[in-house]
Amino acid sequence: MIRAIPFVGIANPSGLQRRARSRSQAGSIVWRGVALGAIVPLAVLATWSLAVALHAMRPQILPGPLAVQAAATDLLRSGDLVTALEVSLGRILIGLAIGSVLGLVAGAVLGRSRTLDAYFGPTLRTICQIPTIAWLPVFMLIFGIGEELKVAIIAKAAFLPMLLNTFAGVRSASGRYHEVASALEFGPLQRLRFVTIPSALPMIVLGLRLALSNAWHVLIVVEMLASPAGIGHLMAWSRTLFQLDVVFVTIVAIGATGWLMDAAMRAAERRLSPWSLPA
Amino acid sequence: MNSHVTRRASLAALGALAVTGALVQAAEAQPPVIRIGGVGSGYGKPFGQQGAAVMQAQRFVEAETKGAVRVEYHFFDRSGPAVNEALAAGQLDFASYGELPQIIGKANGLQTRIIANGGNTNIYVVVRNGVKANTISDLKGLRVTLQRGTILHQALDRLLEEAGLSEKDIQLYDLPTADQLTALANGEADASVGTSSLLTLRDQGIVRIIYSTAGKTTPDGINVFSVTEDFSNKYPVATSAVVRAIVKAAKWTAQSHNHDAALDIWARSGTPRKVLAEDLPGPLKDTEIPLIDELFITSLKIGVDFAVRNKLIRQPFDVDAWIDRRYLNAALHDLNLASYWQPRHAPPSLAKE
Amino acid sequence: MTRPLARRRIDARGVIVPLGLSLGWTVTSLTGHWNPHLLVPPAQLARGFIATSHNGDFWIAAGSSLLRLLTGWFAGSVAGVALGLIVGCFTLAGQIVAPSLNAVRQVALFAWIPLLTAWFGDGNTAEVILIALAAFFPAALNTEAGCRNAPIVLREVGRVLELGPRDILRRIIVPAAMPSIVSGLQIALTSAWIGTIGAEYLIDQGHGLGVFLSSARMDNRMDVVLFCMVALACIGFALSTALRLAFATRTPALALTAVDD
Repeated sequence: MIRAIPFVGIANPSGLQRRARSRSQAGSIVWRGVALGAIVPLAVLATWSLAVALHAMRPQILPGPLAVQAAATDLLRSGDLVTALEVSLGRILIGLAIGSVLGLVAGAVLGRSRTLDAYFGPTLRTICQIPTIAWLPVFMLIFGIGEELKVAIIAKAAFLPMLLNTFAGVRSASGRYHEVASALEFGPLQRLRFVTIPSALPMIVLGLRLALSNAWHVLIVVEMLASPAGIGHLMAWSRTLFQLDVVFVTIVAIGATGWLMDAAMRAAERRLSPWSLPA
Repeated sequence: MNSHVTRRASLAALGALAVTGALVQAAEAQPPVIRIGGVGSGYGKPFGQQGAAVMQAQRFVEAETKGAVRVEYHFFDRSGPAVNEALAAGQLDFASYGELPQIIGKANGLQTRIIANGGNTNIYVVVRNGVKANTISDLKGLRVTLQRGTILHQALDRLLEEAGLSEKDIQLYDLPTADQLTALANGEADASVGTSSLLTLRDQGIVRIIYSTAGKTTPDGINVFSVTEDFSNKYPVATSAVVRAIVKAAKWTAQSHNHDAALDIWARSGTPRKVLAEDLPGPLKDTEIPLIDELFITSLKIGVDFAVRNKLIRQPFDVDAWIDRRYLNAALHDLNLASYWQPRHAPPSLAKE
Repeated sequence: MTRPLARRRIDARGVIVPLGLSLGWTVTSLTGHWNPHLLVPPAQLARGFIATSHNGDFWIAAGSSLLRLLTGWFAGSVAGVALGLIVGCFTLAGQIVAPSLNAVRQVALFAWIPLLTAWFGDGNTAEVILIALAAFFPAALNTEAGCRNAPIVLREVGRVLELGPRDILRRIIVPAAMPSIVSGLQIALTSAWIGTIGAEYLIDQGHGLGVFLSSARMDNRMDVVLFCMVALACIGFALSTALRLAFATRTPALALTAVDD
């Protein structure tokens, strides 16, 4: 029942591959993983089709798999889906860049300086407590209703995880390493390069991954509420038009895009901090 | 001797009546519950606006069904989509809400029938103080916020057309009401089209009204009262009862000595009473009309047209087939109100088909 | 960590920044130049705060939100911990369930609202389900991580002692995973709180702080909106403190291991 095998879990569903001893073993592990992983989606598809066939709910609120697929084809052909995704991804990239850089700097500064943390820490921690959606009215008054608003909110959503994780990463650089650095008479820059950054890197990369996830979630809400474009808006608008098959398609698109971005981040995590355990 | 006969005759008559009554009862089972949906105010309260709220407060439906059936009211804040979904999910039997969302629902397969006019919602076009604009044609080039896909959108479209403009001549921002208020207050938007919720901004000195449908005979801002085909097929008697209640509520509202009481009822939904008083100075007999008249039908047709043109629905459909006048005509006849309200004609500029 | 556990002296320096900001606010709003709608003059702000705190509606809203939060959080956490234990202990379960859950986890929480309201109506049910969904993933993720980290040595001990599977679970795995599970529950609570406010704001029915916030915006009352934000911060703070005290563990210095927003 309980064996010491590589981590296969919700956050890291492909973990088994790493322990394969040969290429063919790796291949068969992959196929087995795919087959097992497909059980739940297939079951869901079967139940869904059955529910539709039995008219469990009206087709307007429970469109069948075929209707959803037709809507997907329509959207792809008309280019609406791709355009919407482009808009959303563009916003995410800019907002993430701004927010994570700010978070990185702030986290590093607060992590290294106990004094500054004493002054700014409590305020920042309290701001964490307020859900981003509650910030929307305030942000609207500051940034207006255009693109700046979306980018600002995404930056805010990305800022916090980066701040907290960078802070934790910098703080975790064990005192022992700093002692060694002192013994070796490292200057501040060398200290930074050989001690602080490597030990903080796993947490920072994780922070970036969380920042991206956060930002994606927040973007959807903002687009649902106040935007003439983007995938979130497409979803809300299809709801207004009482086309739930399109809503389904947008949900799948949101999930798929989120998954791809997370997979990319996980790959980056593995490359950048191979010495850390998967989270 | 006579009393004997009379008594026996009356007993026989009573007996016959009882049997007939029982037969009628057996012919149609009573629905377990009647669920009516209406337009709310955005404050999350279980009270609403217009005729449905009056029906709820004055318990007209209970009176018509002699208390035999439980009646539930559900008032939606972001009407449109939510009501369509509730109807599709079988959570509502009757609903009174904007004609455009109704058209969207119907076009997407929602099986409903129009049974009455749901009353008018006043539409206001406001402009931020500091912006030079006094008529609709002055809106050219301005940033206008409104909620797309609503009767407000339809109204703006028609008003722009009348002024010789089109949507391309303005910058349209699709925002929910609360965000429109913020945008106007912040100077991010120049104008807005909305309901009486904009009056608050006017009172705060942020905007001024340049156009309003209050007091005008207009095809804008129409609400529609409809029933699901399921319910009306299964319970035609209960449906007539509800329609009679609708008419009774309209009659009650129309009487000037009930004006204050009506405002009180609608104020329970959260809209400030002051705003209601200004929005509906009366006579309410002219605004809360349950008639399916020419103006109503023309407005519906304009709505379908608008929806197709703006790609809100894929295909037009036959409005006349959607309407079921029988209940309304029967109710007006039974209650002797056939000539109480004047049917309104569509202004010649609109008379299509 | 070099700091001893016991030192909980309150550091007064943390107050300086908020004080500075308030001062800046007062000065800027009095000159009336920059954005008078956001920077409500302090006098009016104070009046609004006091009025709202006396407003019965506000407390009813707060109470409703908290009730909803606790219901959803409990439901989501129980399901999450249960699933986390299963996936954490049985590799096969992990292989079957994990990919699907990981995919579902990627869908932004509030993207489920249109579907939830279509199926469950525009009210409390949809909101509670959303909150449970928000709590589910952090709870599951952290429980699973905790099970994974139960040292192999301990499990060997279990096997040597020939403990049955239920005993292994109860006496070895769960205690070893406990810190992670608790951490997961705390993060689940934060997520659930965000889900509560968001769901109430977007669905806008009945009682709740999200609805209250939405109504304040309908009235264009920025002072009430700001009061709500302060209230939300206080409640969030109180919730995490309560949970921390309840479990009497030290929260690791703000590090997060799962989605929190």
